[in-house]
Amino acid sequence: MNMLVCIKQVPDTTEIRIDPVKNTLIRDGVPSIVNPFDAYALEAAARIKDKDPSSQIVLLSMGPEQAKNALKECLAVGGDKAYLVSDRAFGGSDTLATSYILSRAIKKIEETEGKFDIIFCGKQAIDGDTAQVGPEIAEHLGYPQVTYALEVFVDGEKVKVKKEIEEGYEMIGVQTPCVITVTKPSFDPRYPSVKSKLAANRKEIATITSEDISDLDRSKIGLKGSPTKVKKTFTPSVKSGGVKICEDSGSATAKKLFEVLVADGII
Amino acid sequence: MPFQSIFVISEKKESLYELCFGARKLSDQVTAVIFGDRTAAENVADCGAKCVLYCPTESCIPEDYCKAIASEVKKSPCALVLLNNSVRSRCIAGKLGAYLDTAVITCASEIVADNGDIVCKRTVYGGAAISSQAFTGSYGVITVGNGIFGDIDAKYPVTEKIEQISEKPECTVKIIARNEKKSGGTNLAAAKRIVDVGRGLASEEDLDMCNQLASLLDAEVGCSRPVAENNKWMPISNYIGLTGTTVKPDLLFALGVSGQVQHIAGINKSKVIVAINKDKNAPIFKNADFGIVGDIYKIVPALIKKLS
Ligand SMILES: Cc1cc2nc3c(=O)[nH]c(=O)nc-3n(C[C@H](O)[C@H](O)[C@H](O)COP(=O)(O)OP(=O)(O)OC[C@H]3O[C@@H](n4cnc5c(N)ncnc54)[C@H](O)[C@@H]3O)c2cc1C
Repeated sequence: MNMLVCIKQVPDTTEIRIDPVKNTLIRDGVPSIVNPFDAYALEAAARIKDKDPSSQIVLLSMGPEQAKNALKECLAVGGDKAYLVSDRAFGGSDTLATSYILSRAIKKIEETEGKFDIIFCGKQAIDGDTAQVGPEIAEHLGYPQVTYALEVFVDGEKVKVKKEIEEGYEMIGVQTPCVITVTKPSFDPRYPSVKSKLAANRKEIATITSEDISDLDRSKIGLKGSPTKVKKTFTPSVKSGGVKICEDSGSATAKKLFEVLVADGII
Repeated sequence: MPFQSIFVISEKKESLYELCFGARKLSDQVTAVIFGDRTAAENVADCGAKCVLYCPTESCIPEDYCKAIASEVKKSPCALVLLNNSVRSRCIAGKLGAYLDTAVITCASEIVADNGDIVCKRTVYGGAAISSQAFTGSYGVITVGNGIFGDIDAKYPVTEKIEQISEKPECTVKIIARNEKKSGGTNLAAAKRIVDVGRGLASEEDLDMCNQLASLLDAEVGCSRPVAENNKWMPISNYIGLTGTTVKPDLLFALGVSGQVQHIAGINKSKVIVAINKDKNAPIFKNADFGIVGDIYKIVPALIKKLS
């Protein structure tokens, strides 16, 4: 299988804080990580490669130069090669513009790496949380797609996907080439070894700019290609604190709680 | 950009009614798109839509109709598409966005008309901020969580206009098997009382204790996202929050929930929140009407005794 995995470098959202005085987001010093769902997608590809070592895994990320760090991390846990799509002209792209650029970049990379059988994405990025880039790439490429994959099985040309749905799961059969977006599986992604980290560090990461993509429609990229406008961004409000109950024992606390709820006519 | 017509797409009856109710606040030109046969469409003829389009699914899945739905939408010079936040709807939303060449605003927590613009509020940066956004082109796609439009307090006439969607589906994937998990089926958005379980619960068996409390209070049981998504102790449809269901019960008991912004976004319309958490600095206490600093394993059993 010839596979491509899309990787996004994201701020660790558990570390984002609000400046209490200015009421703005503090972005400085927030560590960057590989989007966890992309790491699961890479693991799904790596497991296919474990079974069929002739497979290739190519990584693709769009972002600033520093996103190469995320790609390096991924090269150490299964990726064979990596490409970074980076250009000022891409700044301000929303999901539609991003998926368009990625789909054009994939076509460009295929000139060197051959046609991809499976294109993997995480089901969503934890910073934007839109879950749209994967499905949109599939439509730009005209490929069938399966979202929310838990596990992916390959048998010759046929691909079977265990897909999570609200009520349980479905087994889906899909032909290659296809796009698969991956959600959190029951297993953890593999860890890098010292050796694989060193090898990853030595690998070259090629950068693709807007100039390199010959048939790029410039009206579809960056801010211009993004059909939404942000009116304003503000911080959410909180309720002011209520009554605290803290008695000496669990049963005393339960009793007190019960009494106040009854007294207030809540139960 | 003013949107004349709104297409509401849903695979579930309750959310169809809710979305149509919300859509009617913004426009009278509402078209409902459902997956099923003519009878299924007739069953929802009073949802508030002017027209119900049905997409038969005996031999394909809803996603296969995206192109056909996009063609219907394009018959209007400018239109909005409104979907719920389910796994399937989000996929359909992405495909429609690509066909309509527009963006998808996901998980909107509020949609209002503002000077001709339709403005959506959504949380960004993992909940650290809220952003209001509007579409700049002729089409827009929005997904929303359950419960954002409030209680349905309108009755609509039964529509006569029920039609099969004109274009054929494009079947690209095949379902080989289906496996449904435990119960689900709770309607959290409409529940009057909810026991909300967080990761403070140490094991799946301990859900018994929470279920017991819930049945004594006549409450439904919901949970935080990691309880459903990481631990897989409850169906995904049971988690509450920004990306899950928005609830608005009279009483919500949060057990071992830390109260991260994304979760709060789903519970802050509750009338009374009782929070039990052993960490006195847990952010949930900022949103709780009654905050109990303590161990759920001590307090919940005692409370069960008291209520029995
Ligand atoms: C983009 C994005 C979207 C998200 N959307 C959602 C969403 O829609 N819904 C959602 O729920 N989450 C969402 N999350 C996740 C969210 O940020 C939190 O990680 C999650 O809500 C935490 O769940 P929790 O409170 O159950 O777990 P934790 O944060 O781990 O909290 C467990 C709490 O239990 C307490 N505890 C432990 N043991 C006991 C005990 N014995 N007795 C009493 N208390 C105890 C601890 O003090 C702690 O406060 C989202 C995250 C991101 C980044």
